[in-house]
Amino acid sequence: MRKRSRTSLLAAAVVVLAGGISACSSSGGSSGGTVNLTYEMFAKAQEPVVRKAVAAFEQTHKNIKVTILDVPPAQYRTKLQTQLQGGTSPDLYWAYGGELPLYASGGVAADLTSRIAKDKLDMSAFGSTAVSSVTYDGKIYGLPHSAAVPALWSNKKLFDAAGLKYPDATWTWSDLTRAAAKLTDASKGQYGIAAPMNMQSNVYPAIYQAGGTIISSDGKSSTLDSPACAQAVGLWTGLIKSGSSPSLADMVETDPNTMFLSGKVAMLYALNSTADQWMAAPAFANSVDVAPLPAGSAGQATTLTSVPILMNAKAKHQDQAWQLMEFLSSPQGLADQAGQGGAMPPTTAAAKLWAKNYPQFDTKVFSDELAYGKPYPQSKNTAKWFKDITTALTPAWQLKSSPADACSAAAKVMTSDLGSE
Amino acid sequence: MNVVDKRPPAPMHHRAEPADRQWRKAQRRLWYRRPRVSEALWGWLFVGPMVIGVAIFYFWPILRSAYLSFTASGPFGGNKWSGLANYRGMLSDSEFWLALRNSFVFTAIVLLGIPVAVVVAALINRRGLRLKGVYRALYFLPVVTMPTAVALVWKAMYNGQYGIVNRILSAVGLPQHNWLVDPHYALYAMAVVSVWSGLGTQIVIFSAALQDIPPELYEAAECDGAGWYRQLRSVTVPLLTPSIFFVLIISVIQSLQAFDLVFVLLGPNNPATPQAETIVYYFYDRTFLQHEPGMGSAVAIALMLILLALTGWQFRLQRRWVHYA
Repeated sequence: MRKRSRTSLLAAAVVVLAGGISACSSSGGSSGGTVNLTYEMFAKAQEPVVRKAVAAFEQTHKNIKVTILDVPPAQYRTKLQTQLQGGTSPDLYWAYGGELPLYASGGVAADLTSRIAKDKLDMSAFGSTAVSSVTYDGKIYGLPHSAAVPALWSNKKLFDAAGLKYPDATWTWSDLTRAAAKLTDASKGQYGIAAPMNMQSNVYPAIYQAGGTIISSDGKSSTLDSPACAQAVGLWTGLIKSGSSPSLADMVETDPNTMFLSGKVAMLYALNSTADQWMAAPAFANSVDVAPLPAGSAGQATTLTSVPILMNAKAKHQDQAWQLMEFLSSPQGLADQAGQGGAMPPTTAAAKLWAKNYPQFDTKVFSDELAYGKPYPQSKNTAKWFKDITTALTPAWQLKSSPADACSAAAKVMTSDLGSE
Repeated sequence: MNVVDKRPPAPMHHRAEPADRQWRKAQRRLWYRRPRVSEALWGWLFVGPMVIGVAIFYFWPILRSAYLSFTASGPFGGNKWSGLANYRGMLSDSEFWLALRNSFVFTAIVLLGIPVAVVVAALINRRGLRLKGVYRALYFLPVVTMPTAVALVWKAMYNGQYGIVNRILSAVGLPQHNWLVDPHYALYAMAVVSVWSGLGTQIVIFSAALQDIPPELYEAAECDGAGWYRQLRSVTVPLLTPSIFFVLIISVIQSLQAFDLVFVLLGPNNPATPQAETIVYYFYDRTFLQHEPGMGSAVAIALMLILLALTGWQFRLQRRWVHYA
């Protein structure tokens, strides 16, 4: 009797343990005709927008339930990478700008080309730049969800105090540096502009404005060893050298956005998504103005970074996942997204609706940029050479090396990284 | 009244068995008895959760990392055997050697905190010291504070423009720096934070050991005319050596594994990071930021071997200086 009770206890323990294991592996299935999808994203601020869009989808697709996983940006890459390697990955997920080729080449993103053709989805609404960033090896792996474009933000109060005209679409680099110098007041600790080593907002756009590129069209070598790169790096490091911008060290310790918010810098190159940050301080938002990035020797240019939605290549219910993707990227889905502010939708029509959330700013700047923005440079392992060129360009920002030397060092290491992809 | 029977006991009816055979029989009986087997099972059941946990979360990852370190694996698996290529790549990467050097420098500075902890522990355990509890609480506070919160506060203190460190330095006329951005200082600035936040635990360990030292020894030392310093050197420190040894082993392991301080105090966008990164940060960067898990695993295995060797070496050396009373 006693023996038996022991055996049964053991058996119970085994059952409990095994049960626990099987319970872990049975998520993400379908039960009673209802399909469960998971959708992973990384921006807390955009969660309400996404939640609302998904709710609208669930209204019309009663048999599909969507779970949104909102992961803090700092952990997103690590977590998604681990999930995709193991078996618990989401059906749909966002990719950071420049990282779509990583997922596409890694076999964890589904090829959507035939689905797009079958449903006659109009990709041209996203613009050729966005389409090129969701294309890898001639196939389309994602649908653009939002677009990040930088612009020149300025503090009108500081401009008024200096008796200067606000920046506008006619500005060139020399207008920028001249105004920056006039807006600098060392005695008050006030700088005309922030010149951080921000590739997306400052460095890449300036290279494009000077007529250069970052990566060759075949994606096999770096094109940073060019006069355009030296000019671009020279623009920013020159602003630090002349004292119109805080030093690199100061900008690493105190975020330039914070400096702009506190009136310590008068001008800032920053993404469209920062509009929400200024709006959070209403008194400040009224004194903020926005203009296109000033033109360089090759005219006006900017970077356009697409954040796409990707489908997991191993997703169980790809048809349903595609329905959700298509819904979110449809004109109606994007219009819903636009109505909430947050990340700007990737089509001109929706971007115009998005701008209505920010009546204080001339946000037409951003929808215009969708038309002429150039792609955020990417390759199979963007992160690797991105880190290496950042390290190679640092001495220029520390004023220890000339812009041309820094550019050729960056080109060398980038080409070597691309060669080993 | 009966007289106590003093005769030897009557011989038993059957022949007595030799003692050894009795023993063997008893053994056999025990061996065949089921409860013995099930006792072992129960034993396993009790240690089971721990053993399973350690196996799943420690040994399996070690084996898996060892395997990955010999493969050219992509960020999403797809492992191809590549022999020693990762190790060769690691050893020929100057960044690896720099990170390793940084970790050793960092560890050396952290170890300088041990004598400080011994002295502070001796000071706050002096007999007759008032407000003992307050001092103990103060030194222990960093231990119960979230490491990230600690790092954020230090980050603010080290700030080149507004930080209190530079304020104090400027008040006494010393040069100021961007402590966490300047590659020359970032590593040392981080080590200082690590010493500060490790002090609390070390003091608790030393305090416990100090309370075990018999007061007579101090009285005897005093009779012999030993002052405070002499008592510390000849009584306190020798009797603390087992605890010092323990703290030393733990500190070396923890410091060589330092990651969170680099991540929070410096972070990936800091120009000082490539020059001041530690070996575990280098591992993180390779594995998760640059998508090279194979190479990252090689780094992890190398670090494990280094730690094993260092710990083994310390155990050999301890015979010369640790006094077990």
